[in-house]
Amino acid sequence: MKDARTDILRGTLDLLIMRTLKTIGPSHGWGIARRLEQVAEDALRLNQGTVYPALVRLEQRGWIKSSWGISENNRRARFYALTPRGEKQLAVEEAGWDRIAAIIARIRSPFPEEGAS
Amino acid sequence: MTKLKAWLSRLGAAWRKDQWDQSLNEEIEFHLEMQMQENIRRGMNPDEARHAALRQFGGVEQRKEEWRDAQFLPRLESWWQDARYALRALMRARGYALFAVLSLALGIGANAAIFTLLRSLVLKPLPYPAPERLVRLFESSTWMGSSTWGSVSVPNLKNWREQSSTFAALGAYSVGGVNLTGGGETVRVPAAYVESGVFEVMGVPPMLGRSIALDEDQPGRDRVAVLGHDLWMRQFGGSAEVIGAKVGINGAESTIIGVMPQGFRFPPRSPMEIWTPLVTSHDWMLERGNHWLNVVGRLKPGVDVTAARLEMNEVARRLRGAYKENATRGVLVEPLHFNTVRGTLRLLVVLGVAAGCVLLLACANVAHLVLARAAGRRRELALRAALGASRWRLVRLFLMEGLLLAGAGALAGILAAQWSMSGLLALAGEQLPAGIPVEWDGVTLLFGVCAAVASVAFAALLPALRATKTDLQSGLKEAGTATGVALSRSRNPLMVWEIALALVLVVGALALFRSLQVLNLADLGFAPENVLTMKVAAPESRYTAPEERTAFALRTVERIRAIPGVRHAGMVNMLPVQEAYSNGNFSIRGRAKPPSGHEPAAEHRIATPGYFEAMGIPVVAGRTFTAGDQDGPARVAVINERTARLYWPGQNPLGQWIAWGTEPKPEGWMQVVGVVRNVRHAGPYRPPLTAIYMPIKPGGMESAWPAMSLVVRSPLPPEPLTRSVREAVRSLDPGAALYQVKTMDGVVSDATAGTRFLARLLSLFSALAIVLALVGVYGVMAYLVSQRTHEIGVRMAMGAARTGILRLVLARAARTGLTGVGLGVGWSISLLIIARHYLLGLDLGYLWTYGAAAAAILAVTLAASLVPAWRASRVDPVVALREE
Repeated sequence: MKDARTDILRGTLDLLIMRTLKTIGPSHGWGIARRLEQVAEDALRLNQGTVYPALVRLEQRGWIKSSWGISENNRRARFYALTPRGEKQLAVEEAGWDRIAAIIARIRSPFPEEGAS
Repeated sequence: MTKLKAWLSRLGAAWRKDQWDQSLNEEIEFHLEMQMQENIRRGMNPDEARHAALRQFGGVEQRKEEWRDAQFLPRLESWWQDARYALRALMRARGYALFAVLSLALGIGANAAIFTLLRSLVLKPLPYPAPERLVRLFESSTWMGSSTWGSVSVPNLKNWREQSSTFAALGAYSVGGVNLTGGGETVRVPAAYVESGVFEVMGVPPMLGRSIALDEDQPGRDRVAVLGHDLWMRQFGGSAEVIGAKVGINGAESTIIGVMPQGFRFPPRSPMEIWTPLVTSHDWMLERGNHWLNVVGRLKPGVDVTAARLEMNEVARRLRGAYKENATRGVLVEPLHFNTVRGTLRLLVVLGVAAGCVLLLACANVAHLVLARAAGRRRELALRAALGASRWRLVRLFLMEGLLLAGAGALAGILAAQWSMSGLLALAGEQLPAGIPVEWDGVTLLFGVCAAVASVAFAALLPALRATKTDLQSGLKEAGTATGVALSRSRNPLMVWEIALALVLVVGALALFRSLQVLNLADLGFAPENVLTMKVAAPESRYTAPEERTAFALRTVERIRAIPGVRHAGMVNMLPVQEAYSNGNFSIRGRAKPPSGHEPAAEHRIATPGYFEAMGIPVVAGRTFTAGDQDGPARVAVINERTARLYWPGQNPLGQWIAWGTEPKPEGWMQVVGVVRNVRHAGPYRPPLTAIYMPIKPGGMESAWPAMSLVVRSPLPPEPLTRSVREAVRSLDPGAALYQVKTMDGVVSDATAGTRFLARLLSLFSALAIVLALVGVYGVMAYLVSQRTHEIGVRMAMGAARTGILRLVLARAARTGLTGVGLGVGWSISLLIIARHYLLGLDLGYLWTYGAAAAAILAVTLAASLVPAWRASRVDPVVALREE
């Protein structure tokens, strides 16, 4: 029960992180978390810390890779970047997400297109 | 793929945990600092900024934990956690842990030791090329209604060779010893007389020189010898020059033609160190009715033993039809490996069963302890279950404890077994084959691991399953009163088994001791006290003619008799108890010829005058041999009581005429002049055989054997007596060899050494079993009493007397003990019935054996319950009732 719920969240968060990395390029954990907050404009209530377990998972799957580098304020920081496999995976997941979103949108629409079902 | 990769990455991370933790902290610290700066930019003061950053991060520790979960293998982690928890729990209960480890170490160690012996001495293939194709062949016989098997006669072997096609080679041999003269001293060396075929069968080429050639079994060409490696090193300094060198073998000059490589033994595991040609020098050796050859064979590639058996059965059938001597004869084909290890296997099977019992007992004990601990932890378990721990997780707690205990037990046991192996081998003496390395290897370790896992399954898994099968409510509600019932019900059978197992071991040990005692009381038929025996071998080459050998034997006896302090002296060809089965059919004058296969038969013994007196064999009727019996044409014989009773029932055999063979020659008839007591020829446990004694006589069957047993009766101590005898024989002929010097008591004791070894080891095992049972019973009873403290308090409050409480607990123990004893007696009887096939002389008819064992076990049970019972009777009702 508990597992099923986190899976959905986890899947969503994973997608968001990969999308962010795709958009802003290699970034450290705080950068990703910050970017997510800015884009969502507080509509998304996110504990910043949750990105880290997700990053570990993504790295284990080989979709992102990490390396230590120097941050904009000259501090040692861990930078994450999408791998080619991650790019492919992102495309697959976004396509799937779009499809689901479209289906949900259609179902929720008060005037379903005729003959579409 | 992705999953596997993730898993591998987790596994890898598990090894670099510290490093990883550090980088995790660093990353979080960086994050918090960035957020703090951001917050300060938004106008917060540094303190506020820091707090806000932490809040936004959302619980650093919680996140770390989540992070770790993602990073590592949570399963491995929690197993590790369980193990550490179990270790801590065991450290707290040190006495319990120590006892459990010791129990398991004893059980696993005993089994590992026996297993190692089994693997090294029984399962390992014999050291010859393609050993699985080697067989031994015997003639089987249904002679005198019993089914026996033994040696082969020369003509029969010849027919086997001609008529069989499943063997690549057959080889005959016989064993004995030779007097080896090389450099002054004459030494006796165990030797085998072999056909050239034996080397072909065994397939091991000599290290130096050659082996025996096909035509070297002819008298005159047989003066060659192949040496064993050790003898070559010892006697000839390991020099390659030895090939072609001359040595004296039985006084004749022989040529050394070869040296076998180190480790070569023939017959397998025998001490033989010289191989010389097998020569059929006497006519009797060629008779079809004289069975004296040992035969080995090598199967052709691709032929299995069954095919060889089928073929040889057919050959035997043809020979039965063709020759009347073969009327009751068959052929037995047995893998050489099995034939070699048979005795060792029997011994180890008995020991293995005993060791298995000890391990079972140890497991039962540990199971008791685990259950008792589980009962004490009921509330903890129920709480864990209520908090969401799965049953498996709870069982795992027990398993972890069990695994730790069994692991430590197995380790300690294997180390102890390895350490005590040399002692065990020393105790075994000649009961286990010497010179074969007993090896510890991966398989032994694997055995230890398996034993440990099996112990865990028995000692921890079952109790764990039972203990965790509780519904939460009753577990949480329980106040320690009614709950003992469910547990004790499962524990009583365990206790009953334990008592039964201990009883089995005690009965086994007692039965063996009993059979030894029976033996001491048994009438061997002779008086072994104050009798010294030894083999005297005349140098054969100088005493080739039977007349010369006989004269030498008689002269030797004369000399020995002249030694001051010697009461009687005599010689015989085979010593009682030590050697037997040299036998044949005989005819009785004036009787109708019996049907083939039903002829009278007896052991034949050749003795000098004085033998019966020296050995202390009483005369029942008539007389023994006198000096006059050697001379003149008159032939006499002495028979034993069994022969008289069997073939002259209700008649007087004295004065009757008998002769060896079914068609005796006129000069073969012997007159029976005496009847003597039966002796146990074939070992202390075998009943006496029929026997005919003939006075030693120059020529023919009654001439002296190349090596005769000298029997000297004297009150002198063995050492000085041996010296005097040796001097006397040397003065007669310095080339004669004296060996196997033993008192007759020693001969008897050697014959029972196997039983004594088993009895000692089994009593050791049963002592272990008793200790384990004692502690086990104590543990159970103490537990039961502690569980029933409340109930006892109530009883006392209601007016029960302290003695009544004492009686209550003891009665309970006695009931369990009696059930266990009953079960144990049943098991013992069935086991002894099986064991009787393996152990000669094992008796199962003695009620007192079971009685004594049962009484001992019951006493142990009650003794173990005494302290808990006493404690129960001291219970203070006020305290007991308040104690919820």
